[in-house]
Amino acid sequence: METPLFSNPQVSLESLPTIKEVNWTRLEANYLKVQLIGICLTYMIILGVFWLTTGLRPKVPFGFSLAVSGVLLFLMIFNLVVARLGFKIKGYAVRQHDLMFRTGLLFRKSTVIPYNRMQHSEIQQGLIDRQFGLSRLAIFTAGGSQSDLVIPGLTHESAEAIRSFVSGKVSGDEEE
Amino acid sequence: MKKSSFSFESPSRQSISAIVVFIYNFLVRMLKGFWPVLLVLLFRSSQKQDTYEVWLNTFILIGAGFSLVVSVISYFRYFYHVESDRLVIQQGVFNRSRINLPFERIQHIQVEQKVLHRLLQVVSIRIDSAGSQGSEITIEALEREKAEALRSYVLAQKKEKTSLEQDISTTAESDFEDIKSKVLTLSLADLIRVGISQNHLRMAGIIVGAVFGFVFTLADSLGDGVWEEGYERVQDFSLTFWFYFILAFGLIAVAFVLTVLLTIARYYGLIFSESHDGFELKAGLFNRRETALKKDKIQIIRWANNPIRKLLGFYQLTIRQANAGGLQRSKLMIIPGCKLPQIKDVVWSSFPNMDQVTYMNHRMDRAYISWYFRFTGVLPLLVFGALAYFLQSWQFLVPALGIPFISFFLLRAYCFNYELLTDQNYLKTIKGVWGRTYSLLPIYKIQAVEVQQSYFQRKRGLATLVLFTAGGSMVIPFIPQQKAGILRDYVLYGVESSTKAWM
Repeated sequence: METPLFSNPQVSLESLPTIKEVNWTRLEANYLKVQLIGICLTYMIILGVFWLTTGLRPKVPFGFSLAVSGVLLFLMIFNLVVARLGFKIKGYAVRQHDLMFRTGLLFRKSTVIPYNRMQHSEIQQGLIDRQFGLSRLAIFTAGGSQSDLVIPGLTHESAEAIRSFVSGKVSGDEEE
Repeated sequence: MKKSSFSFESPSRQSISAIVVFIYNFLVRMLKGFWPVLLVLLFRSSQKQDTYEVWLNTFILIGAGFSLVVSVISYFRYFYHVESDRLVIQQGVFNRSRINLPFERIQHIQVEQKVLHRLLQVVSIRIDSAGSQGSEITIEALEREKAEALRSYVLAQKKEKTSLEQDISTTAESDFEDIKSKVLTLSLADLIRVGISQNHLRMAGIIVGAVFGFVFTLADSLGDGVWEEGYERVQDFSLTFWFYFILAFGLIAVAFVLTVLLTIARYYGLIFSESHDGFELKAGLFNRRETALKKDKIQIIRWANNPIRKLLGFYQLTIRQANAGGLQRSKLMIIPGCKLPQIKDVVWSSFPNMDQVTYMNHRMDRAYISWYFRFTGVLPLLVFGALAYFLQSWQFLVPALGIPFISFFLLRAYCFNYELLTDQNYLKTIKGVWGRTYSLLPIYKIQAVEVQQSYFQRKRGLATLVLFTAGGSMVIPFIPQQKAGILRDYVLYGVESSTKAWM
């Protein structure tokens, strides 16, 4: 760096652990199926509702209904491709002092929450998740849902393991 | 602290005036929900109603009467009392529920007095608690002394409880009885100045929305014929440029007067005072509100001016506190008409070591302009350009060229004005197009860090950093990704090595 970020740092910035060294743990391969099924179901429901409410009305030209369906199908395929390509980017890292999660193919986003700022955690299971034996771990922080974090696509055991590790850290910090 | 003369051990009801408050709330609810129906009934009183309408109205009346009775009964079924370490509320007419609120989870107790409360000489109490079930408890009507006693009793208990568990000596909870010093009071002239400097365009928008909402609801309940009739009447006006000009001018004038009046009503008799560990704000002409917050719970302090405020030399100060659990809106205290010395006062007494602060300046990358111009410039150009071409109506060329032109200058100004200042313990941003908004955030208050990178930013090695606190977030857009990485690591280091209570 040419310009220093902090004029009087307590530690030299080079010695701080940098995030580039993080090994991301990928989500369970089955979670990709959960995502793909979820996307297909969502679009099927939208299509169904569209055809039942407008598509089948006599006044509506058939070509218009076909065009709308075509656009929806195109969007669905786009979503499926993005989900497929973006899957290898999704990952989490359990570090000594914080939990990280990374997601997003076009718009990449990585979130870090330190253990000493977590309020509580929850293991959730969606309808499709259950069919594949997957769980998601939700981490809550104070002050609204803005900075809450959900890590999907974990086996129930690993979700449980991370949760007990995290809550051990949270309560351990309070005792210090 | 002095012993309170009231006992809160046994379950007790609210002040009997609560019934009046309940009935009043009921009437307001009814009016809000059914005013179109009532208007229709008034307009059509001469005409005969058909059977369907008679039945419908009877049902509505029975329903209304029933819920009126329920809201009166609910007074007799509402009890509050204090058990060893908690406040207990029992309520409900059909489903009894019991809310337990442990003292250590109570964040904040607010005493409020609306016009009706003033007439009845009672106050209402709102208690906010932390925790994910984010509950807010309201006791609608209590005598003032009783409310004050309850508040200080609960806060004293809370203090005892916390000091037993952890040995906090310096940051002890306030018992709201220590000496307060006034930071700011506003005279009527000050209030008018503050009113003039508010955002009048926003008020104009609210008026337009309200008028449209009113017309739509009314038209709906009066029937179909209204639209055609109304349209014909509008056609009678000659819709010239001058008509629109006068309409717009009148709207702005009304909005201006309204904002000034509302501001005066809202901040009348404002007293902003400081105690050793907190701030208190009292203001209001009709509804007098008292808000208090603790210095160690403050997350972000913001102060902002605009061209008019700049001319008059003052800022609007916003103090954001950690908000309670699941509640969406964060706790904030807005103090208008602050001058720089008062802001410095608040900041220096809330955040420690402000005298040792030395900032380093950073700016955002110009790619910000070209990225957002795609959506606010190129897209409108294409859409309106296509409309102009296909419909052959050339008035669409005005927005097709005007919107990109204006948006370019706004984006440019925003990008060039943005400043990030970093210190060892603090982060500060300065931003704004017409005025300047300053946000100050102690690093150890941050509770989550997010690095965002679109494909556009990745190509250029840029990133946007978002820092979340329990009372709002700070966005640092379009900085070099290397810098974002260092900043993130440094923030995490600061947070993870801090043992201070952050909320």
